[in-house]
Amino acid sequence: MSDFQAGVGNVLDCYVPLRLDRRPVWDEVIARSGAGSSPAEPRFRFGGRWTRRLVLGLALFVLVLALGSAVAAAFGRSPFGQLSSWLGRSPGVPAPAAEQAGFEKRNGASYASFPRNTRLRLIAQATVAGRSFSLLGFRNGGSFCLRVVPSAAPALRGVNQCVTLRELQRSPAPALVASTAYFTIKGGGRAEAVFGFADNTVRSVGIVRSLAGQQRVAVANDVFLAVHAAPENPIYDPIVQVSAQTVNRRSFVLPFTTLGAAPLLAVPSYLRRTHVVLPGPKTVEARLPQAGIAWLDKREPRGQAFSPSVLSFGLKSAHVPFSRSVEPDPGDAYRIAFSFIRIGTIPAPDRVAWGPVPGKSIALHPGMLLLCYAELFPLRPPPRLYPCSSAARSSALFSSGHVLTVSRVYREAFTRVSGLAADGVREVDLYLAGGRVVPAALRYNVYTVEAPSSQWPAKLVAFNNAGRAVEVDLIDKQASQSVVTPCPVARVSTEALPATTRRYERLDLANGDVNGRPVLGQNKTDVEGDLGRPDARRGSDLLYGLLPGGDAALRIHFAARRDLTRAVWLEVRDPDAIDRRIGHLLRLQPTVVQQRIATAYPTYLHLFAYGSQPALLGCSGTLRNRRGNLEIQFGLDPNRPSQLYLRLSDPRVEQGSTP
Amino acid sequence: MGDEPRQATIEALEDLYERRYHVFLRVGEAIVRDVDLAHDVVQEAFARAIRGRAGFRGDGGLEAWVWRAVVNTARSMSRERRPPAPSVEELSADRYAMSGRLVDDDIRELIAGLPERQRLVLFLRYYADLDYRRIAEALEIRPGTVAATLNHAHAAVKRVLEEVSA
Repeated sequence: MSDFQAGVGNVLDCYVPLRLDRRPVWDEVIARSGAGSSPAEPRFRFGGRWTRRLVLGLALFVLVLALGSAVAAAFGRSPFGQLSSWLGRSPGVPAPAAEQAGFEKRNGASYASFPRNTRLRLIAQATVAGRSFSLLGFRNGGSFCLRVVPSAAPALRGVNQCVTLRELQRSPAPALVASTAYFTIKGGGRAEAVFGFADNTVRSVGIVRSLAGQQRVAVANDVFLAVHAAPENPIYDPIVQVSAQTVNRRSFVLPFTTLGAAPLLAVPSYLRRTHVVLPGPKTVEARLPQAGIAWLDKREPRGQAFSPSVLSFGLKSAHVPFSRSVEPDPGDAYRIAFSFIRIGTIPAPDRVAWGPVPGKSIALHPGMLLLCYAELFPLRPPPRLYPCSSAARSSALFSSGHVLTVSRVYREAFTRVSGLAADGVREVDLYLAGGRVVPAALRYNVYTVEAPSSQWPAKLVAFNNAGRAVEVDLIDKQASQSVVTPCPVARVSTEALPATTRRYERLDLANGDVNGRPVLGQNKTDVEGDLGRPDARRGSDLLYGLLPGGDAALRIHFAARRDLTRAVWLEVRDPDAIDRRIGHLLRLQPTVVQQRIATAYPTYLHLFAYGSQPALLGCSGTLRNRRGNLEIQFGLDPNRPSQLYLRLSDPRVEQGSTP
Repeated sequence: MGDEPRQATIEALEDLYERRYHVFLRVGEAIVRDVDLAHDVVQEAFARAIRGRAGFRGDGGLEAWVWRAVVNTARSMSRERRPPAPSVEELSADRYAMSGRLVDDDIRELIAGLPERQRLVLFLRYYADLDYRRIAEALEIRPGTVAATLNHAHAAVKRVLEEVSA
């Protein structure tokens, strides 16, 4: 998509928004059409192989009913059909003893743990770069849980994701991504995994990456595991599509967001953003008298006992007069723990604790009483950071005017929103851009909810006993749905090369010279003496070779450093610019430029691989030489994403640290 | 999203409806300028598609065939009923700012002032993400005409974009 087309798209986005608060009503369509459940058009045909399939389907249905009638019936008419490997049976084979033991060790050491008698099943394995990865499965109440861990290191935390029956029922496709997983491989490289569930009709799942292309994996035991090997510092190569292929050759795209897509606070123009209208209450309708948690202030023994790690405060002595943890959802191991902690002696006078408001800390002193709380995630070690209040009362845990605290953990497939709800909050609901309303589990003032990241943005609404909204929180303040698209192909000049090269077009990336002479760190007189009179001056910048649109082939920026005005960076936009080893840099795609620089100049190291930080750096990459005195930034202009640029700078001069 | 079905069965139409309802609604609202009326457009278009499904010959895609129904229904409903003009406040509250500013009324009026065919091609291209062939099938014109119409629409919009960014 060109810059102009993106602009047209933005204009049209403003013209009519996407009204996701409106719901489709198929029954009304049927009623209008007068078709009803027409006997003239059966849903399936009879005769031949269709008869056999019908009979087989009926038999299977009866079997499923006998084995798992409640769960089977719950799927109803959802596109996601049956999980026959999981219904009334156990998928795969019992996990090897080492993997079961590794899980039990991690589970036993976690404050948020699955039931002690949880038995794992080994469902799939995949090997990349000589390393084997296991996909293990288990049930937790009404949830179906998957765990990916290196087979040789089963006690690692791994990546664990449970999917509720609700999400499977509401899946728009017959397969669903549970999570991604990223592992570092000793000796170099990474393993990137995508795993999830697929119903009986799915034969394979395809993962498409922007650069690496498609990887296809077979479905077995109603799950899929795709593992991909990547180098240690990979070029940003996002997954752009996950799809399921069924036995009858239909293809379904699975909802999936790309890492880096959400939340985005700044959107370069090559990231599409569509304004959506979120459903649900838009403003607060009633007020609660005061935010607080009475049972906590009274120290009533709700939930389970909990022992906080006071070492995280750097303390050697502390008294914990009261500490409990609450699990809001019995089908989800997530918890929040509360602790009153009385400080004993402190080893250093400037020891602090984190306050409940991000960025604010509390200076500790002996005898002080704190009220702290911590999120406890399944299979994770004890938390090291606790938001605390020195007021030692629950009302101080809430920001002024709020009756909820909101914490968000984002992953590509599912995002978790959790926190505290003040007394008087009866219900907490998550409203998704996809139109769904997902009720949070709420118990003893602790709530948690997981929902598909592909349906963001979202807002959280708390309701009182009268059903009035007492808080409306737009999650991450994002009101627009963003879609990350791969970095667009750069528009490369195909014009004939000029017969001669101008002075300002001759670069040497080895040392940042232009026309064989240093520029960075020099004053204007020296630069003009080497390159000649500039074609224009703009503020303190010298411009050589004016281009259409007001750019310059070479722009040199000067700034005051230690009472001297020096060149701090130079920027090249000229397709005729030439490096003595690489050639015409800006006639190459950025990924090629990156490879050529790394090959021709091994003194350069990647700071940021091209496109690896889409939200922060957009489609650009940064290399720095080992001495740290030269940095190259290259890629697409964030304001004009089809245009290539390359910038050279001396970080020491920029920061004023050189004499 | 599944492959294009070869028959206009109720099942296939329901699948298309559930998957793309919001896109149909958006184009409908762009044509009739009223979201409630746009919902009626979509409902009626699909009802007509069900009643007339035997007439689907399968030589074009089912979705393009339905888009034809949606566009024609929107056109006729738009002629029958003049929708109320939205208030400035309502528009301001809903608008996404391209560059941090509220949308200029001139941009909105420009889109509304384009020839009908240019508007329809823009809506189907940008809202529905249809390719030229499907747009041509939906509007019952040649693909070459789609390309030319889009160029003219782009030229008109470009002029306003340049004014806005100045």
